[in-house]
Amino acid sequence: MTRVNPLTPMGLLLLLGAVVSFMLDGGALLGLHAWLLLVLVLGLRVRAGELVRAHLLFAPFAIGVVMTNAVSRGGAVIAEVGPFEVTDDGLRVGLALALRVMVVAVPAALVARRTDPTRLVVAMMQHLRVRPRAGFAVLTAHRMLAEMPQRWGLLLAAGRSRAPLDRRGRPRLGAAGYGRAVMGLLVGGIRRGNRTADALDVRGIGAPTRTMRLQEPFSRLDVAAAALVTAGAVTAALAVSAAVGHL
Amino acid sequence: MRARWQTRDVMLTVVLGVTFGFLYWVLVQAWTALSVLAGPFGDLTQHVLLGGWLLVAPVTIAITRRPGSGVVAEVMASLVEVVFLGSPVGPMLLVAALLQGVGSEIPFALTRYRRFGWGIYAISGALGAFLVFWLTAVRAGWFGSDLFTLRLVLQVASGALLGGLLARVIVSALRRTGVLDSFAIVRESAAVPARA
Repeated sequence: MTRVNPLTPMGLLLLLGAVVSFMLDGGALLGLHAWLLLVLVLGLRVRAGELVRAHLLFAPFAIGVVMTNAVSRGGAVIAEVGPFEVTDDGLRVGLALALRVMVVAVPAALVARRTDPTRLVVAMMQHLRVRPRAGFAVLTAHRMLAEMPQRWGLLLAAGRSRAPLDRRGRPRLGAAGYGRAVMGLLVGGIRRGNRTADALDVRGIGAPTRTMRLQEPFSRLDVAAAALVTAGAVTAALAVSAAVGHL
Repeated sequence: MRARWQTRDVMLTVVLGVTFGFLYWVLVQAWTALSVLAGPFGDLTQHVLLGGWLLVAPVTIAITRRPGSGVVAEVMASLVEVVFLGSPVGPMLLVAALLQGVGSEIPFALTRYRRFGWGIYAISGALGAFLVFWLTAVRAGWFGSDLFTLRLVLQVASGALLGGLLARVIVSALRRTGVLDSFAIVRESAAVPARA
């Protein structure tokens, strides 16, 4: 990861997301997922525990997708659960869609965790013509985002300390309390944004010509990595799909 | 015709994008719990909250009044969800966000960023939800499913309410705090004399 341009894995992920959106073949998705896990483990040195946690993170969403689709589509009825009829078609599509969630979300989450934001923004400025003003604004925002869960917790805690107590003596924040916390987060963020914008202006960030110390060139390694991952993905998807038949 | 983007406008668009990206993520946590509880209808409960995802575009447009700011903010928010917080939808969320942003922005663009009444906000939210509905429908294979019409109606209604009208409430609340005094929303209304 440290040797390829940060835009290479990002580009591959976008490609993956776009291609997978039109796939409903369970076998092909299974092959694709197996290959991507292999790439993550060998290429990015992702450990088994982290891999499992990443899957668990998206499991509730995937389960919801399976359940809704299993009972809301036509096809032969294979089981009845209360008032709902589970159909074979529904179950098949639901499982494929759930698998699709994993194929897309797990690599994206793990790659994002290993991407250095500064390198990514520098690469975007150099290759995607992102303007420095926008690039630095994004980097500032990224730092703000890192603190945001803490600020959010702080605002909620402040709200709770003033909230009325319920019968069991616990503070009751309610929807209004959450609303106030949201406003606090927004107003604080806008104020900081204004101050940062003034600081960027003072440093001449919008100047027409700028030089950059950091460089993020594309190398032959990027081409090789992209070609290998893509070729492997196509092969794995086709091979497993052919082996298990069109699911 | 219009002055170019100030650095403050760029910053505000990005900040709003990031903040709403974070809030969307909070919303996703709540909603995942809800959809598991609702069992087979879990998918449907999403539609009720869907409008919440459209908020950032109208809010940003109303404050900066710069063409494109809504789309940029919406895409920023989705970028935060995908890249930093992890969303089950993955990178395709960026495309969805682009559609939402464009849909939300069209009504404001048609009035040349001059009218900001309740109606415009509602249309903005509804249109954003309507555009993105088709992408989701294709991706999730909803065509021919029993719930197709219900899904469409729920999503568009949620868009108009949560993604449109709520945005106006937020904008006027923000304006009252005074943090927006250096932005177009306050400058323009101060510059234009009141018309009967």
